[in-house]
Amino acid sequence: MKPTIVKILNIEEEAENVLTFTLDYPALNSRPGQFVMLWLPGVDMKPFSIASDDGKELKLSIFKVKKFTTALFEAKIGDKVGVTGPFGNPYSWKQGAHVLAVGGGYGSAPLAYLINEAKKDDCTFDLFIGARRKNLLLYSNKFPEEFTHIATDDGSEGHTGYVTEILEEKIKKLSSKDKKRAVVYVCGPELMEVAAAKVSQKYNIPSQISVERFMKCGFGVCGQCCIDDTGEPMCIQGPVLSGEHALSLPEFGKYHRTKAGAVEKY
Amino acid sequence: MKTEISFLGVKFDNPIVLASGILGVTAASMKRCIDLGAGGVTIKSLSMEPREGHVNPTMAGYDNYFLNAVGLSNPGVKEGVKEIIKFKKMCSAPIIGSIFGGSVEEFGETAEIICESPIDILEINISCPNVKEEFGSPYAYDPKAAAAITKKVKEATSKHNIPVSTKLSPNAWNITEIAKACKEAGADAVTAVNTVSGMTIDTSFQTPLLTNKSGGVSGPALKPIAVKAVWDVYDACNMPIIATGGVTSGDDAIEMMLAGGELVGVGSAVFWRGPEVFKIIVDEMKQYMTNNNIDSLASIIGKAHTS
Ligand SMILES: Cc1cc2nc3c(=O)[nH]c(=O)nc-3n(C[C@H](O)[C@H](O)[C@H](O)COP(=O)(O)OP(=O)(O)OC[C@H]3O[C@@H](n4cnc5c(N)ncnc54)[C@H](O)[C@@H]3O)c2cc1C
Ligand SMILES: Cc1cc2nc3c(=O)[nH]c(=O)nc-3n(C[C@H](O)[C@H](O)[C@H](O)COP(=O)(O)O)c2cc1C
Ligand code: FES
Repeated sequence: MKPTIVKILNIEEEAENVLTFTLDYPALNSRPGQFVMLWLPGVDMKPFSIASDDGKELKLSIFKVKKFTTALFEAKIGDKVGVTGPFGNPYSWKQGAHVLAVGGGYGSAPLAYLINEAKKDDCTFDLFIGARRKNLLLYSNKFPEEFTHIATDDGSEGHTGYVTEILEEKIKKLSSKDKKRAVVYVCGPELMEVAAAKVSQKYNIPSQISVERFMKCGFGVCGQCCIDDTGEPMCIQGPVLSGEHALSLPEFGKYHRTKAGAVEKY
Repeated sequence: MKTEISFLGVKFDNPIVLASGILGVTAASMKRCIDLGAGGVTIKSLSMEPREGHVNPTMAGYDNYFLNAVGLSNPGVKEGVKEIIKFKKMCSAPIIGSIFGGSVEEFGETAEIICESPIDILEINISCPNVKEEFGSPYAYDPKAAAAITKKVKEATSKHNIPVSTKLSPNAWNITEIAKACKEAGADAVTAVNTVSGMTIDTSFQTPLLTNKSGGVSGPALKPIAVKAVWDVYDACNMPIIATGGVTSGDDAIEMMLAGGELVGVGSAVFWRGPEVFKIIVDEMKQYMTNNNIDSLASIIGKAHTS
């Protein structure tokens, strides 16, 4: 589990406070929904979802939060970072499925990777992206307009309200044939994930949710990311869980644990 | 075929116990280890105050060893007690509490609190090599300090009839002296061993991999060191031992028991063999019993000393 030391090939501004880093990482062999641990020596090592991996380059879309991400935002093209992974249980799909991808915050990143891979298996798509306001929307103009649906809390773009509302509207309009091959894929703030999982359940559509917990090792040793009441480590059994399983967990949408391991309510 | 072990009066379905600091942060994660075959569990070490631990990278696994400097992160003993209570509601398997502190008094205070919870045994962690800057050298290097802490903790545990096991360090050159001192101070058992000090340097960045720079080595590289520690303590003190360090297979566990371990701690093995490792090890031990006509695992404890 030696970190692979790779060069930053490119840095692009994606949205307000979001940069996409392209890393020179050949043959990572990841699947959509998986994550890597990113190491900046002397700063920290933190988990990030894979936004793209074409076998040559690895892309991560990163929100600036505090210490680690602030330090990362100061990095320049040509600088080196350490990477371990890929880790975790990926999203899965069947040939010819209809993908309903629901993203909030940096959640659109792994969903973009999912769409680009599922395309190869003749899947069709509807992408739902939510944010508080227009400037925070991530990946809202990367995919064809006809399947990109947007919601903002303040109405600065798209539907005014929650992304799960436009998801439900769309599901109602699906032909019964499309509904049969539909699967909802979710990554975003946990309360949004709960709402999306419930909408999917209501219409009998299977869902896959990315459930994130505080991670230290990323490979199932420290127990920091174990979820109640099954005790499954989210770095291995997750982050992607079936919506039904996620909803059956008393912790999902209710609380998580801090770096010290203390319970913190949402 | 009997895999049960009665250790300090506590019944374990099999001798394989989850070592402290691996997976055992929450009740549910410990219960999962029981479901996956462990005979008992040890909770991640608890302190009076919550601690975030060291900055990542705090762990790294290689082919033959594991290195960590997690830095004793924990939500504090009061939160930990809630997890212990919850664990006991979820199942009836034995749970070993684990505490550490920065002074003799703090060990005592923490022990008082954890003893109010339904732990079966209390382990005293005086041997973590990764918090030197904060706490100085581990107490496990000094017979007097090890004895003073054991004695203090015993004051709390004896009111509740909870047996105590002091956890020793393989870094102590005089490990048998330490074990003896703990025994005289009232330790009912010892856990041998914690991790041995180590370091790994990233050659690309030319800097230690762990942010804490040094860490503790566990896994296969630790095993011969642990076997020798168990052997020596068994010889010198004739006391019950939770033999821990580098066990990843049934054969390793048998080796630990032959050296004198009554229980066998398993931690880092989950890195190589997954959390299913507990059942795998127990199955491999049963196979050994069949192959060698052994009726009861208890009969092989310390057996290598007699031949
Ligand atoms: C599986 C997974 C995938 C992720 N993918 C992305 C991504 O694609 N893009 C992105 O911008 N962010 C992602 N994150 C979150 C990212 O790890 C945190 O935003 C980042 O660590 C913040 O670090 P900081 O030092 O800047 O801020 P901090 O002050 O350290 O943290 C701010 C908040 O970020 C979260 N966080 C911090 N450290 C961790 C950790 N080790 N594990 C989990 N959560 C943490 C906590 O909620 C914390 O309150 C992901 C997290 C997980 C678990
Ligand atoms: C990630 C990690 C965290 C640990 N945390 C603790 C701890 O909190 N308390 C403790 O007494 N020992 C701790 N240890 C030491 C283990 O309990 C055990 O003694 C050691 O790892 C040797 O056993 P193993 O080779 O089976 O892992 C930790 C070990 C690891 C790998
Ligand atoms: S992050 Fe360590 S077990 Fe998941």
